[in-house]
Amino acid sequence: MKRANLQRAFPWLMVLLMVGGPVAFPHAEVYFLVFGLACFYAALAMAWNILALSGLFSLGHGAFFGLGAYAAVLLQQKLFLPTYPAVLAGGLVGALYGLLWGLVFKKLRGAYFALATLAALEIPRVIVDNWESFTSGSMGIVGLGRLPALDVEIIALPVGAGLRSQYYFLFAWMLLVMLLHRHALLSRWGWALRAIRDNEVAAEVLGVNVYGCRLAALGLSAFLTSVCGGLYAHLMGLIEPAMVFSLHIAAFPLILSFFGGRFAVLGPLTGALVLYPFDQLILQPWLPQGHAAVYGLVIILTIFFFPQGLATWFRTKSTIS
Amino acid sequence: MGIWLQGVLSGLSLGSFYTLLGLGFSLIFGVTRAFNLAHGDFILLAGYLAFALWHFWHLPFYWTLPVCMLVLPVAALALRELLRRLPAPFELNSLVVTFGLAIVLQNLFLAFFSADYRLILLPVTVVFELPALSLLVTANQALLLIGSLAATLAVYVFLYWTFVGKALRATIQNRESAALAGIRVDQMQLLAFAVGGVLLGLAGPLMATNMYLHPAGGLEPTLIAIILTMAAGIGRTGSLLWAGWLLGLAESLTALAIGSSWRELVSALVLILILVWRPNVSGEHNIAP
Amino acid sequence: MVPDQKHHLLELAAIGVIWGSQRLLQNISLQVAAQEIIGIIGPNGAGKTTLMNVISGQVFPTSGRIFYQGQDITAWQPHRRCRAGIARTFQIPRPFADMTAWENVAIARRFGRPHRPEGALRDESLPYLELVGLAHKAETLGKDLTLSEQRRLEVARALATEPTLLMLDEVAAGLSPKMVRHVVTLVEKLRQQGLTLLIIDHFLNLTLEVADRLVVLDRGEKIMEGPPAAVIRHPEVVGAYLGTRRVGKGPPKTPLPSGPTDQS
Repeated sequence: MKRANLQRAFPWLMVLLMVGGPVAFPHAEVYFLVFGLACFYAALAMAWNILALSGLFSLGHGAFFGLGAYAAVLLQQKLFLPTYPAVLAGGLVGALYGLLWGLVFKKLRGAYFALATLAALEIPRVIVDNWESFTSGSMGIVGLGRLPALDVEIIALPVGAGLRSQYYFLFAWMLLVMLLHRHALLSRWGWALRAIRDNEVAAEVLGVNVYGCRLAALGLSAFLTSVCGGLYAHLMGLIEPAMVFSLHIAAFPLILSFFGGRFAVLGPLTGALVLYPFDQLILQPWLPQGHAAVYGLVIILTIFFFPQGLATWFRTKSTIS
Repeated sequence: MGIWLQGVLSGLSLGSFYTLLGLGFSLIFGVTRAFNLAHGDFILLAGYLAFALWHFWHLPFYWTLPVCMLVLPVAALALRELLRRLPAPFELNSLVVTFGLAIVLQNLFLAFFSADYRLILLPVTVVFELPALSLLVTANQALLLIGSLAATLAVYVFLYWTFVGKALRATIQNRESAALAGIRVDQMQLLAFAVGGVLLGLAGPLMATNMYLHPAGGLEPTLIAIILTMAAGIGRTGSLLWAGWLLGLAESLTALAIGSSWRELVSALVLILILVWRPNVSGEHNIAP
Repeated sequence: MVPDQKHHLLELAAIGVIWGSQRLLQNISLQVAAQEIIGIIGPNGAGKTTLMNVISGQVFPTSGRIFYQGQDITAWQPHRRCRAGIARTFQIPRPFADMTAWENVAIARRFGRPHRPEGALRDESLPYLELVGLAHKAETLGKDLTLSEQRRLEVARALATEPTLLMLDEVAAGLSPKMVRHVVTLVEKLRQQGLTLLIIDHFLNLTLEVADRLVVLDRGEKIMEGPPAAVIRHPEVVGAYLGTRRVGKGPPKTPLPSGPTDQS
């Protein structure tokens, strides 16, 4: 098979694997669990990458994740909102925090922006940790229900009924985020982001609204990450400050995106679908404590040996439209 | 009254330790302009090494200090080799690679020492007491204060009074000019990493006796080192001690006033304020007109 | 066309810029009529590029106001000024390094004009590359162009935004006399198309021929303004260039026909 054909076939092979696999092995529970979470982390990676495409690297996306998780859970417990609206509202809370970053960190670039986000991750964590009367503090909130059935118009998916339906739900969520990620690469807005990350000053004198485009990327990225946080609360059944406001939540998408390829539509997704199952199915049983070191190793090797990531070889050349 | 005096004292001793953290970081940052996000994890490495020597091989605690101060420079020089080979863009890649290194180290700690909190437990002896003011200094606190201050003083003497130290400071302030003045910049880098490594090796065991060791505990020292480096100003190692004391006092008085769990909020807010208000750090976007 | 004194295309009213403790520009007032060509000259560090940064929006003035086509644009962001018809080049080129030459121009077509592109962007972009003699490099990445090609790309991109006011920062510096002829021809052509031009020309190898007026800056102040032939003979201008007003401030700065040395 010619390489060009392989490149074109790759996304379809992936779809076959992701959809066909569960049909072929309907009882492989581990498969559903691991690949479902792989889809979840793929969505998280793409959400992070939407901001990275504007040339800003965040180490503090755990802040959005945690705010989304806590907002979703507290809105259900205190205001009795139904689960999915609460998760979406949690997304808005995260997006607001993202816009606050946009205002306060307006002039920061490069490493200085990254360091500021690192500090901005600590702020909501310490507050949630200490506001015990409202958030239960460092004890966390336990006993959260699984995701209820999703009943929209003609489709009714019993999401929380089993690992299989959970898998399909997370797969669909990943596809949705993938479409937005594609938009951030290939649309008019995507071209503006590309110009901004290539040369900000040139972009602004040629008519690109640098601040506006970047704020849009930050808002969308924060919103999607927060929604992921809200979903995570129900996938795990509990939340604790240290678990959701964690540096690892920021590290994961960064590593998966670099590994998969930050400038390809399917890059971060590929990174997640390759690395996460490898870690969970192969490394974790062999090295139960410390298997996550592989993520650190992978990012170092990626930077040194294939800085464009895995996805470069199947990237279709995009052009301005 | 007494409690506040105690707070000032522990703030100063904390601040001196912070200066030690910041000194190692800013030496390495000075000669490379790389933010080493694994800084705190290198300190943990030294701390866990001291803990292992003390706990498993029953080495007396004071013997662990020289061992760590010999081993950590080797680790720091290995880091230098890694950073030297880094492909462009350096600023971003050094951040990402040291972040990856931090993850590797954290997981190694997890694999070898589990997620339990570890502490080198020294017998509590009071070395100084003022009952009238209910002021009390334990051997631990004295060790932290004296160890940190002695190391800081030694580095200052080296940087300001010796010829090599002055050359190193010149390299930190401006690499190109230093090279033009005939300073061997690569040797100065080696020196900075070696001295930085010794300071890391000292900080680790001190941390293990005064604060708990935890695999994820590297972030806080890293943040503090970055705060001090930015607050003192790049290449201005002289102001580090003041910055360290100020931060230590702010944290310890905040802990007294509204509870120790809010302490971390102070460093996070201070870092953001420093980054946002410093006029010269925001880089490319400010076109010098 | 006789410039209409009531409706200047661009008007600077008492512009001042303070950067840290330095006064980079002081009390600069300037009126530019439509279709005028103005040369801005002055010794190094006189504030020429700062003035251009103020007009294009990279630097916001600490005092004074800017009017363009009768509107106050002092607070406008750069992209808005670009869409309103103000374009510029940079003395030190700023190409999009990872985009091809035509994609560089396409960004200007796509974002730099108030209306959307009508045809295929590549077809729309090529004529601008041709205008500056870069058509054969259309598929070359910005970072792979030579310095002189990158400078020409700057001009192509600026023109692709279809500007009303075009500002050129040292486009002719360091060029051979033959290349300068090309630039002169291009500028004359643009004038015929109805453009207004503001040209920074430290070495005076372009504006003496094409400019209607010269504006002389020295240490952030406008010291002279008038027809080129008269301005360059004025003792104060000669003094500013040769350094008689800067006693004890280093060797005199003679206009040398070498590369650019001005800060960008």
